[in-house]
This record gives sequence, structure tokens and C-alpha cells, in this order.
Amino acid sequence: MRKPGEIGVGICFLGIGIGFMIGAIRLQIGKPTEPQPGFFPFLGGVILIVLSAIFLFQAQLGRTGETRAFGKLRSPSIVVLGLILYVAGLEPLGYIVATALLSAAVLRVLETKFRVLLPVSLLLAIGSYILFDRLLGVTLPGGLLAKLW
Amino acid sequence: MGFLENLGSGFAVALSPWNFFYCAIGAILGTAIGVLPGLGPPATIALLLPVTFKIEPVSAVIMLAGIFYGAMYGGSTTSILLNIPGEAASVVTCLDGYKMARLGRAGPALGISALGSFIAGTLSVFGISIVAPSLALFALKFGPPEYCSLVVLGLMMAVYLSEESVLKGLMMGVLGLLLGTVGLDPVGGGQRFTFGVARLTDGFDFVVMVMGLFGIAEILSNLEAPEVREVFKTALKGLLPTREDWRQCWAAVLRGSLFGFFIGVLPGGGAIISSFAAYAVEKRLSKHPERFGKGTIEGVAAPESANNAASTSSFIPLLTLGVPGNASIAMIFVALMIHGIRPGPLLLQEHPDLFWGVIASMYIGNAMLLGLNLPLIRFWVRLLTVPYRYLAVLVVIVCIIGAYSVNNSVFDVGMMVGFGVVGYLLRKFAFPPAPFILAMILGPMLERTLQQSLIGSGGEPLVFLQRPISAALLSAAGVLMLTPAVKWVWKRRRVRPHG
Repeated sequence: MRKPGEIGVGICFLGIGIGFMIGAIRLQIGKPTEPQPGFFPFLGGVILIVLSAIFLFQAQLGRTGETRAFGKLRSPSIVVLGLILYVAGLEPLGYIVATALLSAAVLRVLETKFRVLLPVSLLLAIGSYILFDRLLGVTLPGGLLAKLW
Repeated sequence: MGFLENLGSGFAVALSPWNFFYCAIGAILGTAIGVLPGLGPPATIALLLPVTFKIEPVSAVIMLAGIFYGAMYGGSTTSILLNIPGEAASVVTCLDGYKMARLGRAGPALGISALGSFIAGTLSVFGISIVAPSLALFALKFGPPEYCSLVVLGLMMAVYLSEESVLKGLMMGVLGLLLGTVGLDPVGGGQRFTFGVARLTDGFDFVVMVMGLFGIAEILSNLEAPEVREVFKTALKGLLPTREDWRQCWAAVLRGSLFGFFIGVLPGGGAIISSFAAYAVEKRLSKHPERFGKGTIEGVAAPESANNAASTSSFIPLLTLGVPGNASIAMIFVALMIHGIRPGPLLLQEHPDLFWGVIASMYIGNAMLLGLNLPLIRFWVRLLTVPYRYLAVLVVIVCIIGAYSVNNSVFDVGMMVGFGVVGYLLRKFAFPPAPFILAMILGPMLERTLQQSLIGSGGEPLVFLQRPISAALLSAAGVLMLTPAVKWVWKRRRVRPHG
């Protein structure tokens, strides 16, 4: 049976292979006695194109082996969205505020009660800040709180 | 210096207060991450890499090695009490370990898994002390073609031994090789595929990548259907196996150790495959194979001994050939490189303190783990009662800090999230991540040795087959690559024996 998801993945791999091959040609391939920067990526690109073509052929026939079914995508999607917003807000908001918000979001997704959620999020954000920034010397972004203090 | 003098000097290094301390930290952390699902050894080692910048290289490797083999001890606890393997290498322990717990024998199951691991780990360390120096001496004969073929064989083994299909493993390996070319050209020094992004000049950061592929991807997968974890409530008494238990399983422990040791030495071989192989062999050799899967103690002793022996012996290719065999060892390879130490045959001559110090620390670490696992088993069981939601948040925070601390850069956190999503999707489509990581790390070595071989031979591609060691290594890689095709043809013939 045809596997559309796998065909999509195969096309991605094929695209990457073609991209590297074209990029390698632009870098110059050279010849075996005088290999240029593009020599190795060119070989890799060609091999990936061949492998992706075989994979696509197998996916068309439904012979690519077992895959794992997607479960409920709501929770992972919310966490990924939360992480993207976290990356955007980490420097302006600072580590403690951004991490407390992210922790609260992840805990909420995992059905944590509100009365537990707030203290645990704050505890995790402040505790990890003290451990890594103050004790282990990792400089974490101060953001809002640093400006206030 | 003889073997005993070397080992003696190694013990002097490993028993220095700071190294002993770092060994203990590694063993405790390893056990904890082995017990708790969510953050495996590669991600934990990657997380601690920035911490190791400030400490001596010997201490750093001793701690990271402790995490790796400590996780093998810890992984069995969840397999036995929850039927959930804390580590992939403990999957097979679930079969008989959990059944033993249900039969009221959780104590002996945990006991034999810790004692078997200790015996196997110790035997394996003894094996390393003997095999590694001879192999390092032999590897001094290697030139670029031999190294090139060795890397190809290592990658092929990683592909072949990964649980998923060989084609998918190959695709991941080649993708790793290609992404490994991003950054500076190792021969000419020019920029490749950086698209003007300054952060990519040094290529993709391994720490960031491993955090995403192993840490975030694992959490996203688990969030789909949060597991209901219920620790099997049983009285944890009689942890020491009885005389009858020992009579039943001593041979399984020894066979598991032997199997694990030899599978671990192979490039690409490791704890996961050795535990499955040891279990299968034990079942085949047993007078009562029908007892396997129903709670027999040999079914716990063999895989647990094998995975520990393999995790220890997998240091051999790293320390003697400079070729890491699995993702965790690859992270230790990165740690050594960060400290300016090139793992390989010259390591023994250039840094004997590190070589013998790490080996001696494994003896000490194994004894320490036995002390940690048996008396503290109730503590580790209590750790399992921490709800998964808190653990998930903790892992996410730890990954964020790990990625950020590499360059104090939000860009790296973003890249980690990206790799996390890609890793999650690749898991769904059953693409194994291990060949990808190994290929990224070994890619520059493969490119350099390939180019050196070709330039040295005047562009003659047959140079790899004209030198006996290189030809043998490449033939082995070829056999591995052709095996699935041969199996497929064989299967078809058996299905249609008469046309």
C-alpha cells in the first residue's frame, strides 16, 4: 500500500541530496588527484539521491518497513509552539520569566492543576537559575528582572 | 612498563580525590538517568560537555564514562519494576524481569541485575586492559586508506545494527555526512554551505544537535500519550540471589559478559544488540527454554551482564582506533577533541595517564555502582514515583540550558528546537538517529582520509582494495551492506521453492 507520509519524507531527503550536489558543483569538485571543497559533498549528494530514489520506489509499493503511528498531536504541538515563543522571548523577558511561563505551559498541557502549576513553575525556573547561573557559572539572560534590579 | 605497572599508575590517577569525586558523580548521574525515562546517556553527556571545559580532561572523561556505564545499571530497575525500559539496552530485561517482580521476586531480579552487571563490567574492564594496548599497537600500521575503510565499516555497522531498516539507516548516515560538511572545509579551510550565517562557520554544534534529537524529540514523543506509570508494589526483600539462583544463572552471567564484550568491541556494536543476542543465545542453550519470558532468572542475568560488558568494551574502538561506536561514545570523543586530545592509536603513548586512568576508573566505578544499586535500591524506586510531568519539564529546562550554555546564544536554543522537531518526525517514520550522529562526527575524518588516500595514490580508487587491512575492512562493510539483499532473495526462494 502506498505510504504518502513516507513519500513526503523521501522527497525531503531527495531535495537535500540535490541541494548538496548543486552546492558542491558550485564549490568545485576537482578530480581524484586534486579534490576540491565540493568533492566529498558531491559524492554524498549523489549517494543520497540514489538512496532516496530507492526509498521512494519502496514507499510507492508500501515496502519501507514499519512506522510509528501519530498519537494525539495536541500536546506536542502546544509544546513546540511554546518552545518557539520561548526562543523569541528568552532575551527580552529573561531566563526566569520565560522559563516559568514555558514550564507552566508544559505542565498545563500535562493536565497539572492550577494550584500546583504556579509554585512548581516558579520553583523550577528560579531553582535552575540559581543552580546553573549562580553556582555553575552559566550566564543566563537576565532580561526584565535584571532591568528592574 | 608492564601491564600491572600501567594499571597501577592508572589506579593512582583514578583514585586521586578529584577523579574519584567525578567518577562518583558520573556513576550517580548515570544511574539516575538510567532509572528515569526521558534523558538518555547521549543527551546527558552532551549536556555536561560545557561543564567539562573547566576541568582536567582525565576527570572529564572519567565522569562522562561513569554516566554511560552507570545508565546501564539504572536502566534495569524500570524494566523490572515497571515493565518500561529506562534505557534501550534494558528492553529485553522487561521480558523476565517484570515477570519475576509479578511473581514476588523483584528483589532477586534487581539483585542479579546489579551483581551480574558488576561481574560483567569488571571482566570487561579486565578485557580492555589486555586487548586495547595490543590493538593500539596494531593500529599504528594504519595509513589514510585503512582509516577511511575503518570509518566506512564503523558507519556500516551502526547502520546494520540499528533496529530500523538498513536503507533508512544508510540515508541517515549519508545525511549526517552531508550536514557534517557544513562549516569550514577540513582540507582547504574555505566555508561550505554556511549561507553567510556566521554561527554556522564552525558547523552544527553536536551538543545542540544531540539535545534536540535525543532530549526534546523523546519528550515530544512521550507527550503524545503520557504513560501511566505505576510502580509495581512489592516488598523489596531478599535482594541477594539465593544459592539456587546462582547455580541457575552463573553460566548466563559469564556467557553474557563474553558476548557483550565482543559485540561491544565491534565498531557500531553496543549494549542494545548485545543484550538481545545474549538473551537469544541463553534461551537456545537452556534446558528449559519454555521458562524464558515467564520469569526465569537467567533471562535477567544474561542481557544485563551483556549490556554492561558491551558498554565498557565499546571504549576500545574509541581509545585505540579513534572511532566511536555509538552516540554516547561519540559524545566522549567530542569531549576529548574539545580538550585538544585526539583519540586513536597514539593516545596510549601521548596520554598514558588518561588511557590507564579511565580504564582504572571503570574498575572503581563498577564497584561504586554495586554499592549504589543494592543498598540504595529503595531510593531509586522512590525516584520513579516522581510524576512524569515534572520530569518532562525538567528535561526541557535542562536541554535549553545545555544548548544555550555552549555559546550563550539563543540561536542555538532555536536550532535545538528545530532538531527536536526533526528528531520527533524521524522517530515517527522509524529513521534511526544513531548513524546520523556518528556520521556527522566521523564525516570530517572520512573526508580527510579519502582525499589523502586518493592524492597519495595518484587518484587510484583501487588503493583501498590493494592494501590488505583496508581491503579486509571494506569487504566486511560490503558483506554487511549486501546481507539484507541476500536475505531478501533467500526469503523469496523459500516462499516459492518450486517456482
